[in-house]
Amino acid sequence: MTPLELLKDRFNGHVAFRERRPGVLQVVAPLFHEDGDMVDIFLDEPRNGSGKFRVGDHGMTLMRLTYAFDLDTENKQRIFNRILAENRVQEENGRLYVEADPERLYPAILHFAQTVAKVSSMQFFKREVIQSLFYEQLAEFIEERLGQYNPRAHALPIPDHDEYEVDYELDAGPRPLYLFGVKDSDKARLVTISCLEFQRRGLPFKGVMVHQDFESGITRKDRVRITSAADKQFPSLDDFKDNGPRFFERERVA
Amino acid sequence: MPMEPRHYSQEEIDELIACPKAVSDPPRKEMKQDRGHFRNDMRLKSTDEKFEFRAFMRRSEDFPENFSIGLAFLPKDGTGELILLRCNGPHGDFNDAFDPANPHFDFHVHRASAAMMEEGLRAEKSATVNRDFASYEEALQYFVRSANITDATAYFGNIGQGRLLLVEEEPNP
Repeated sequence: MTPLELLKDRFNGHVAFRERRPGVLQVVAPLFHEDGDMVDIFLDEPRNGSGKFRVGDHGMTLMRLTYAFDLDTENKQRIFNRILAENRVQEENGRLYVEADPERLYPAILHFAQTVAKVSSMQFFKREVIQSLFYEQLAEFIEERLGQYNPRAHALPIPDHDEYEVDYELDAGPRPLYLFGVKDSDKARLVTISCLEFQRRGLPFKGVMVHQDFESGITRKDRVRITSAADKQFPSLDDFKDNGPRFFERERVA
Repeated sequence: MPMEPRHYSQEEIDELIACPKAVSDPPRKEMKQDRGHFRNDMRLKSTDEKFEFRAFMRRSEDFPENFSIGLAFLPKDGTGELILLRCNGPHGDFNDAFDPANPHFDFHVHRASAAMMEEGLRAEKSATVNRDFASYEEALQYFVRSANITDATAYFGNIGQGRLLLVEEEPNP
């Protein structure tokens, strides 16, 4: 059996080969991206007497990734390099590849396709995707670390007025703490309006804001307004994780 | 609280693709080489200034017939961008139904579909073979027309010239 016949046999016949350039075959296999496009896998025939095939993408994986995501920071590049290193995939000017003996083409192709999928998944590191995790991460931290203060989600301090909802009400002192996660300017305005209404009605409470990004996540005017309405603000989730428990403890013993 | 995925109707998607747009952040004069491919990008705004978009142009260095020219909608509500349209070269056996018995190996267009989104799939998963372009340059013209970019000639000098006519003038056989 030739290497390609062996490969076809291992794929149970569900594979074809198309010559894209002399010595370069495209592998047409039932391996697809989420958008329906086929995973780009090519076989470069052995050169320089090495006897090994090169299983590669001819740069298509990174090209596809840039439709929606760029490796434009050191951190992104570090993660990319780590994916390649941990999967023993090489990169040459944006082209990903592995070398494989002729009788090992089938596992090499599956392994390579898996690595391509991991690199392609880096699109989920997009800013808006990470941002969308903010509220989940805040909820997780409150549940894990602040459970002793009896957190109640979606509290309504003014009965029958669900437009003034509090993300979490906690008991850590003489007055309840109303805690709000603030991801953007829209939420900042909503929280400001709610706190001003609670104050106008004379409710005893302390307003605690946990921002995703106080410096650049909301506009300057919204920063001024929410600062005026809040009793305590944490500029980031990391800051809240570092200092929030101590703040709650101080409130408890006050 | 966590942001719910935004729902789009097909009418809304079609309107986003077809609404008149103007370039707000222009593309480079020439494509830039970048790790195995050539790329260009630009930002667009609807002419009524309600919507913002980005367009990307990519072309493989090793296989110039492998390219993608895409349009993404950039909603302002933080729900994340939506790929509306991608005009592709024949980069492989495209298959939208995971059915290896029904392959394509041709120029094709991915177009966002509300039905796909409702099923939790990638919006632009559905695609059709396209006979209106047969090269990157023609695909760019097709893209400019489909996305209704009104001032494209200012940035792509030869667009609209040459042999490719409007779809209405040269329908598919």
